[in-house]
Parts: sequence; structure tokens; C-alpha cells
Amino acid sequence: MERRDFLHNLSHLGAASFFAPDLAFGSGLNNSNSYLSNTLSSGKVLVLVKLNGGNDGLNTIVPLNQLSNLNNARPHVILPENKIINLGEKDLGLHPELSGFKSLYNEERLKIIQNVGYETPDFSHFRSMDIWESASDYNKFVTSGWMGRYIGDQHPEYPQNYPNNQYPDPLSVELGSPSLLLTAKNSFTSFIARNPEDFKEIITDFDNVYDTSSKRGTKLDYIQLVGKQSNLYGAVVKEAYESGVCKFDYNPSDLGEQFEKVTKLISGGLNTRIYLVELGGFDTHDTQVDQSDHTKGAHAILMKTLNDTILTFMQNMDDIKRSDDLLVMTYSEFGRTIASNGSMGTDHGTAAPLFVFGNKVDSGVLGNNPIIPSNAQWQDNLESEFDFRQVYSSIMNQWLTVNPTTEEEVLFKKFDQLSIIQGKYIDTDGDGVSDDRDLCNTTPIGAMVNTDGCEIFSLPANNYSIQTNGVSCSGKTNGIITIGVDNTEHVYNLSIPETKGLYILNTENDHQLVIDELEIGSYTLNFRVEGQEGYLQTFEIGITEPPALSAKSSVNQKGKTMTVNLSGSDLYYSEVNGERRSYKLDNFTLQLRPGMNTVKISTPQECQGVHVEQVFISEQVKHYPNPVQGELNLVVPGQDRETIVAIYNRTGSLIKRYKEQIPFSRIVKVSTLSLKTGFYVVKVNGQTVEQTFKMIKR
Amino acid sequence: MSQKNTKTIDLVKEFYDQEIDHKALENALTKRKKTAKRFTNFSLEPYTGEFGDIQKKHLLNRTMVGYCHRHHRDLDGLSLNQSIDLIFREDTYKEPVNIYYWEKNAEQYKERYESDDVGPNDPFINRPYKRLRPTFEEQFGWERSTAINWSYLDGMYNQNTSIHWRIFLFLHNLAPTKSFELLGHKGAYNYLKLLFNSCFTSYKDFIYNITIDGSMLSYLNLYLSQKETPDENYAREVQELFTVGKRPFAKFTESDVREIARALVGWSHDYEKIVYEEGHENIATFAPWNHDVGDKFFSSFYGNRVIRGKEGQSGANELQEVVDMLFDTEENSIYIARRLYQFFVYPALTDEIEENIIKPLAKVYEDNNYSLTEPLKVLLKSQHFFENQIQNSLIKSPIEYSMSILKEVDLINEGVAHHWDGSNSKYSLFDPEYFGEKEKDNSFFKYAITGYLGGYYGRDLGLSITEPPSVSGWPAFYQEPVYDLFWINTSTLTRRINLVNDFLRWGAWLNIFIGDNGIQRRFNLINYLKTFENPRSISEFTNELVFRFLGGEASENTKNKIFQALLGDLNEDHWSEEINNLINSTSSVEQSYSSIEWRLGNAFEIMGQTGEFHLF
Repeated sequence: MERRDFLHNLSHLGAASFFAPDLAFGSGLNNSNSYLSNTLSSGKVLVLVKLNGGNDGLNTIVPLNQLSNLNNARPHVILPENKIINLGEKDLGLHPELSGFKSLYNEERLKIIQNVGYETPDFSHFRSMDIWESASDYNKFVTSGWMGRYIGDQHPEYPQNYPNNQYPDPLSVELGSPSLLLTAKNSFTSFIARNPEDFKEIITDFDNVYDTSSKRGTKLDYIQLVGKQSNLYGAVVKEAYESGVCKFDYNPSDLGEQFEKVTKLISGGLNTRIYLVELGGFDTHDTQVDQSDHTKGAHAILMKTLNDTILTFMQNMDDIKRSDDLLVMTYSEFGRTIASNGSMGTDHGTAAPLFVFGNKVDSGVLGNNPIIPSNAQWQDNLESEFDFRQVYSSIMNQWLTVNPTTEEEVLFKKFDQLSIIQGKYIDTDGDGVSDDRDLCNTTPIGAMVNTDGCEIFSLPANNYSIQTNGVSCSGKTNGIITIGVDNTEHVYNLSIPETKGLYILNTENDHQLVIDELEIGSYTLNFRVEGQEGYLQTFEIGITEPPALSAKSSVNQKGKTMTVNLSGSDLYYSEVNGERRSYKLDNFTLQLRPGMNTVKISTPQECQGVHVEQVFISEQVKHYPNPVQGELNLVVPGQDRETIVAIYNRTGSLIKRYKEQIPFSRIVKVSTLSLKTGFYVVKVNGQTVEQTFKMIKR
Repeated sequence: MSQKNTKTIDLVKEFYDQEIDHKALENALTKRKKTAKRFTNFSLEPYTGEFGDIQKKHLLNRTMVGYCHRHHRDLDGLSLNQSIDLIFREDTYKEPVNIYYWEKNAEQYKERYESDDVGPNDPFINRPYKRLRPTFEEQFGWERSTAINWSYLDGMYNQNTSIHWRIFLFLHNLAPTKSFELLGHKGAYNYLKLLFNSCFTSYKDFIYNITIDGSMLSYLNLYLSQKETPDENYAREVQELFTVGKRPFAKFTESDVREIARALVGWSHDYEKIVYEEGHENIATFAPWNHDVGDKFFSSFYGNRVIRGKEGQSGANELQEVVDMLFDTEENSIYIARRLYQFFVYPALTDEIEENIIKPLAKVYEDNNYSLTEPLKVLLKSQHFFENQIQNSLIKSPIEYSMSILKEVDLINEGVAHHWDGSNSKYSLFDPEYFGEKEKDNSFFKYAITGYLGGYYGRDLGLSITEPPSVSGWPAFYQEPVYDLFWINTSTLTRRINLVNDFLRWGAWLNIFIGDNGIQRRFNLINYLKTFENPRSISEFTNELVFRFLGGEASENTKNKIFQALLGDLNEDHWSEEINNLINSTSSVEQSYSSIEWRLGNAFEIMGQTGEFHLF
């Protein structure tokens, strides 16, 4: 929860109490098969289900009033009438495997839109899917997806500087491979969560600057960006995934696995709003049905997978009380031919039905049953009644509450609206209060609202800058709180019950305040604004004992110095071999002498402790030659009278040890004649000398 | 080199010198920014500039399945023309053999494979499982599929310095099938062999042959097509994807799709024979009773051609007429030239490229009986091909990525088994008796690595051969404007980096295949060091390593990091000493082995995290 945008939640919480009693879904219906529950409002989620290959609409939703013509046209695949599930209205039937769709329909959680397609349909899978995902006209070639453009519009700075504090989570997640749908004008907008558990930090060096005027530089820049996002998004996605729950198991299928991941990500608190999952295999040119039983076969398996998975997903979302926030939409590149072919299949067709699921959908059937010609030939195809972009437009408008200008930019033109969301749940300004209750329907995004949807006086939490500048040791009273505000149009009253203190921030004190002489303890800061009754912003501030002094040191043997890195105070005292100094720096360098040194670091606050260290500084022994053949010369500076030289082989066994007087020249000669050719380690020790080096014997 | 187009105009200066309206200036500036990324040389004339290591690597990058030093050595001392001659020699494809004999221990093997009396490393394609193998699943046994998968990986891995296997990939992407699911081992092998044998012949013949290839007949349903209601699937894709391209460029109609479906109905295959009997390489059948004998009428896109319906076996001849019709279009030459350019040079096309490169190449293709190699020869020695912008500008596909790594260190032919016994590293190089037969057996390792390259480091990286995402191949090769960026996403990038750790550092783990704990296959360090010009000099070694693994010039910072990773706490003399121990196999060779292997592992890890590692 901490990760989420604070204000965003506030606005929804404001509305939540209002929604809760209103969720009497399904009341009066036969609820034996219902999976409903009351839910609270949170971020809205859109799950898009791509049915790859071209789903046979006429065997998914069967126009029962056209059965005899259908029997003529598609004898190889027609479903037996007695097995079709009757929807109970509009002369429509469902594929025998879609029993879950029927119960969702009864619960008013399913909307069926008939005959969705586009003008001058294209029969190529690839081209037609491109048209659907890019939301282009049949004769335009657009290289970005409508969802990608929508996200790109909301986040013009993406992908540079993402993720960030405000948007720590992926903007969209897909479970397959990157699609055109989520490609914005210049980048992908999705995180690929195929293996959310698989995350590890992969690249730590992000700061290369590439020449992006070259093709190579562009690629390098891109790879670096993906590496960065893999690290940052990967960590939050993994965290959400691992803390997520999935109470109801999905039937084993690739689609089920994808939805299980989506379930865990949503329940684990990932604040991603767009998900894309994919089910392939709809290109049923042959053996779409079993010859002996048309309710079996490839298409029936797909229908069952889709049915079971969607149903389980809704159950899981009910379980975590998120199904109110959810809209699921299916899409496919086209339907299939009215006429079947001799290979027990159907070929590429045109318009087809589309499904939208969710607690807030304006459920029912939209559109008319397709008319099947009495003697359908291969070239006969279904007319489209609705342009697929009408569905997109309606979802953007009614669910994502996108403003009309943006919508037109994303879809390139205006489209007539279809009713997808029930009127009472439409929330134009996206403040969490639906239009029918919203007395102020143009609240700016992020503003806090009351239950009428009207902005209540508020200041962002980051209006206040509060620092505890001082820390105190127990028993002393030298804690300090410094306070400032961004918005200086108001007069603020501050009360601190613990000290019974009352303060004012106004132009006289430049809206700045310093409160000092505080003891260790916690303080409540209550801010009120003059003239705004009911406004109260509270902060809990603690003045604590200072942290223990922390010191990191590094010794430079050659320079005979020690550098210390400190934290915990503003002022430090050093004592080196009895000599004291003070520093107002976090890091400084101390001069040491050869031999043993004692270093003490302390601060003015006794309770922070003292750091004591003993450091041996060695005189720097020079040695030559290396590699060596005969004598090894050691130059030992300083005052020592004698030294010990030990020679080890590479496995660490001691080979030779000499105790040598140091002559006036301070050069000690050691014979290596008895050593075999190879690699050795030499240690030189003395009162002010302690040094190791590697030596090669030729 | 033509420099005519690169006259620079200082727009800011002009702005102050004379009155220019803001809008025009802005437009000009954006345009200039756009053109900055474009190529400058659009000439197909032979390249005559320097042909050094950089240019050789570029040529090999785009013609081999995975660049490695072995190929580079083959070009030592050769001119560009000589190199092209070498590269355009045909390669070989060896018939799959039994490398699955380790799959079960001897007794289980006998029990399960009684009917499969194929000896270790013997060919098996024409030795179908007997009918007594009871289930479908066993009929398509995955151990044999793995052996077939290894056969083409073997071809690519051990390829000569020849473009042959890369054209194989080109054809597979252009006309892919999911061969294994469809027609068993013989069907899969026949498809793969057809691709390989078609690389140096006419593309037109290839289209004839692929139409009636068993796995293609299955993949696009032609084998099930019935004359009353013919199946359109193949009829559409043969136009859109294999020969004339997508609309709006190619303007074939829905009716053309239908008419081709009618002309081709009747073709099928004899599943029983393919799967259960020996022989039968030519597995297509034509059934006159299921052929539509009516005339077929085509749109103006095909010049309103009519293919006369034929009765009896001569109905099969309509296929050749369909192929002739497809190849008589101008769109066919343009489409194939485009696909060649996109695969071998760069996927994004511009008007200049269409005009100056694609069109002339299309002409070469057409004038040489639809040969793929003739236009490629022109393209790969052109000035355009060697222009700077094109070099190291593409992201490697998964197969090029994994192959270049494996081949570079020759993990498969020369790898050594490694085991950490708790305190010491054991290598089969020094301690052969420590390891079992299986762990040292190359056939077994080939079997294991094929599994890796199909799944974890194939499918999961976005490309597994014989498993195309759709009949149009892999989106990275055709989907505008993303193209090769498709290979890199948050999921695949993590996997790619794992691959470096597995194959170049810890070794490919074998325990899942043999049940032992912690046995890996690592590359042979000593042999690998010997492939370097002067490994004793750490700076020369670093430079050569960077040249071999990274696409294009690396920054000083990157090079320095790699240098430091290799050096560690040694100094340069120690490095020389250690390398000496390894190459001369002195008494300290074992100690030096793990010391240098560790440092090289650190260096690979750093290289694997650079963007340049993915470019070619």
C-alpha cells in the first residue's frame, strides 16, 4: 500500500463508503451459481484477452433464428441444436462449453456485442490483427497500438525516467511476447511478466551515454533502458507476485497460467492498470470439430479453456474484492466464413461477437442477430454492425475516463458510443464518484473529494516540510523541529498537544518556524488553516536519541594516513596518539606515524559512543629485481634495527625464514638461489614494518 | 564513395543571415534530425575500401549463424572477392543419428526400444518405429526429435565458413512449419532437408517443392482440402507470405485466393506410409478424384490469367502453372529482394533503399532464374553493405546469440566436465577417471545442449527453430517499426544474461540429465587461450576478447573494466606467468587453470551486461 500514490487512494477512500451499500448485484436473481461479493473501489483494471487466429463467432454465439440456414451453410461444423446453451433471450445460444458465460450473463456481468468488425475487411491474419491492435482504418498503416498510444499520451515522458516515485509499477503488463497493441509511438509500454518469479538484478551500470543519432547507438540505448526496467520493474513485479494469492485454481492451460499470474499480481498489490493475455489456436481451417461429435474438437477445447479461465478469474477477483474494479474484453482479428469447408473447418471471415466482462458492465446483448443467407457460398461473409473502435472508444470514455481530446488523438477520429458501463457507474472525472451522484463532475485528477464528488479543501501532504534538525541524548533538551510550507497564501495554526504549544505560520515569520529545546519523545503536529473549517493535517514526529556513531576507515600505508567516513553527527573529535582535533566534516584524513597508532573518534553527544582503532603503519619496503634470479634486495626505510623475512610458496607453505640485521645502507640482501623457478609470496616484518609482496623466481 | 548528398547547411547561420520563417526552420531541423539516422551510401557498386578485421567481422556477422574466431581465421589473407567466393560455397547437412542412446540405462533401453534397433550414432530416419510402439506420443518420441533438432544445430555449429546455413534460416523464417507436431521424424527431416537443399537453387523450384512438402501440406491444411469446399489457408499464404507479399503492394484479390485453392485441391500425403514405413522420400500424393477440374480465372493483378482445369493425373500440373503465374509478377522479385535485404542487411526500408537497392537486386534475382545467392553476392560486396551505419546495428536473434557464444569457446566439441567436490574443482581434463562415461561423452552432451537451445535458451528467448509463432515467421524479421528490438524485453534480457553465466562461466549444468549433483560442462580454457594471438600480454588479450565478443568499438571505460576483471589482484607479469603455465602445461597448470578461469568468468560477466554484447 505504501507504494501507491497517496492522494489517489484518498480520493477513492472518500468515495468508498458511498459505494459499499450500493453493491446489491444479482439481488432477486437465482444466486445459487453466483460468485458475487461486495467490493471496495480501488484502481480500475482492464484485462484484454487476445484470441489469436480468428475465432469462429457463429459457433461461439449461435443465432438460433438462423439455424436452418446455418445448417445448410456449415454442415461440417454446425453444433447440434439440443446441445447449444440457450441464452434465454434474443434468440441466441452459446457454445455448449460456455456454461460459465451463461451464469455470468445471468449475474449481469457479461455484455455481448454482436457483429463487431470494420469496413472493407482484410482476410490476412497479420494485417487484420494489425488493424485491430493499431485501431487503424483498413487502408491506413499505423505502427503503434491504441493502448500503447493511450499510455504514451498519459505518460509523455515514458520510458525515460520510468519507473519513478509516482509510478513505481509497470504501466502495462503482458504475459506473452510484446505486441503491437502496447507499442507506443516510440517505445513498448509494457513489462513482460512471463516469468515474474525469475527476476534477478541483471545490470548495474546504467549510465552510459550513447550516440543516438546512429542506429547502433539507438539499439544500445534501448538495451540499457530495458536492463534498467528489468531491474526496477522486475523487483516490484516479483514482490507483488510472491505476496499475491490465487484462491481458486485455474484449469491447466496456457491461458490459465497467464491468468494465475495476473491474479497474483493484482492481489499482490501491483498498481498496473492494463494487462494483456493471449490464447492461440483459433485458426480452425481443419478439424475445428470432431466429425462424429461437433461439440468436441479443437474449437470446443478452446471454448472450454476460455470459459473456465474467465470464470475462475472472476471468482478470484471476487475473493480479493477487486471484481468491481475490473473490466475484461476479448478480441480476435476476425470471425470465420459462414460456410464451412470440407476439412471440417472454416476459413478467414469478417465480423464476430466480442465479450466484455465485469461487475459494472451494462450487461445484455447489443446488436442484432446476423442474417445468414439461405444458400451461403464461400464469398458470403457477415456484415459488421459495429466498428471495433466504437468499443475502444466506449471503454476509454466510460471505463478509463479519458477526456475526449485524448481519445480522438488515440483513435484518430470520433466514434459513436456504445453503452458498455452502466450509466450509474460512469465516472467522467475519475474521482471515484459516479456521475449520477457527482455534484462536481469536473474535479481535477488527484483532488480529494467528498461523497458528493466535490473537491474538499486540501493541501498536498508535501505542502509541509518538516525536519527534526537536532537530536538529543536522553535527559537533555536540545531537540529542534524546523517547519516550512510551500503554499504561503494561507495562515496556518499549529498546535502541539505534547508541549501544549500553539504557533502561527504567516507572512510575518515567512511561514517558517523553529521549535527548540525539545526532549526525546514523539510530538503530534496539528495544522489547521484559517478560514477552512474541517481541515486538519496531522503529522507524527519523533525526536529520538541520535544513532550510534558510525565510522568507516581506510588506511593508506604508503602515505601513512587514515581516512575516516563518519555519520551520526555534524561535529566530530579525533584523537591520534593523544593529539586532539575537531572537524565539521563527515570525512577527513589523519596523519599517522610508522609503527602502532591509536585513533579515537567521538562526537559532542556522549550517547553516540567512541570509535577506537589501532592501526599499524608499516615503513614501505622496496624490493628488486622481480623476477629474481640470484639475490633479492630489500630496502627497509625507517629506524628498525632488524627484520624478519619469510618466503612462502603459492600454496602458503613456509619455505624459508631469515632474521637479518639492517645495515646502514638499509638494504637487506636475501639469497634465492635455493628456490625453484616459480611464484612466491614474501613477508617482511619488523617493529615498524609489515609488508607482503609477490615474487617470481626465474 | 559518393559524397554528393552530404553537403551541410548551417541552418542557424542562415536564419540570422536572412529572413526565414520559424515553421520552415523547424521543419528543416526535424528533417535533418531524421535523416541523420539514415544511410548515406546507396550504391550497389563493389566496395573498394579497406577490407580489414572490422570489415571481415561485419561480413561474417551477416553470413554465418554466429560469428566466431574460427571463421575469421578462414578469411585471413583473403580479399573481399576471395572471401565472397569462399562464403558462397555450399555446406553439408548430415543425416540425424542416434545420440539418444544414453536416454535410458541399458535394460530400460532394451525394453522400451526393442523395436528401435538403431545403434549408437547410427542414422535412424529410414528406420521407423514399429507399429508395436503403442501410443501416438511414442510414435513421435521426443528422443528422436531431439536428435533431429541436433542435426541442424550441428550443421550451424560446425558450419564451414559458408553462408549456406544462414540462408537456411532465411528460408525457414520465410516458409516455416511446425514440422515435428505434424508428420513424425521423417516429415520433419524431409522439410529441413528441403530447406537446406534449396538454398543454392532457384527460389521458384523451392516454392513448387514446399507446396507439396509433407509438413507444409499439414501445417497449412492443404492435405485436408476438399474439392467441393476447398481450404484457402495455403492459397492465401503462398501469395501473401511466400511469393508476392502483402497488400497493398501486391493487389491479389480474395477471388485469387479461392482460385488457387481450387487449382491445388487434390494434393495430400500418405500419413501411414510416412510414419510407419521405410523409404518414401517423395511423400506427396495427388488424388484426381478430389481435384476441381473447372477452369480457374484470376484477377488483373495476374493479368487475368486462366488456368485450364485438367482431369486425371495431369491435374497435378496445375501446381506448376500456379507457381509460374506467381513468379511472373513484378511483385515477386521486389518482395523477395526486400526480404533478402531485411534479413541480411537491415529490416527498416526507406524510399532510397527501395529505389537504389531493392529494385536492382530484384532484377538480379529475376535474371538469374530466381536465385537467392546471386543477388546476395551483389549485396554483400556492395558499398552500401559496408557503410558504417549498418555495421553492428542489429540485435542478434537468439540463435545467433547462443551460437556465437558456444562456437567461440567451442563448448560442444572441446568442453570439459567439471565438478566441485566441496573443496576442489575437478576437471575431466586433469582427472578423467573422476568422471563417468556419460559425463565425458560428446553425444550425450549434444543431446543435453539441444534441450537447452530448444527451450530455456530457445523458446524462452523468443526463437526456437521448427516452432515459429505463426506462418509468417518471427515478428523481429518483419514487424514494423520494432523489428529486432523484439528480441529484447524485460524477460528475454534476463535470460540472455543467464546464458552467459551458464555457458561461459559455471558451465552448462548436466545434473538434470544424469541425476548427479553439480556436474557441468565448461569450455576448455587451455585450447581457448591458444586461439589468441598473444594471450601472454593481458592488454592484447583484452583487446582481442573485446573484438571477438562485442559488436563494434567498446568504450574505454568498458575495456578498462574488462581489463581489471582479468587482472584482479595480479600484475601483468603474473598474468603472463599464469598463461605460460597453461599453454606450456607446466607443473603449476592446474593452479593456474582455476585462477585464470575465474578471472575470465568475471570478464565474461561484465561483457554480458553490456549492450554491445547483443549487437552484430
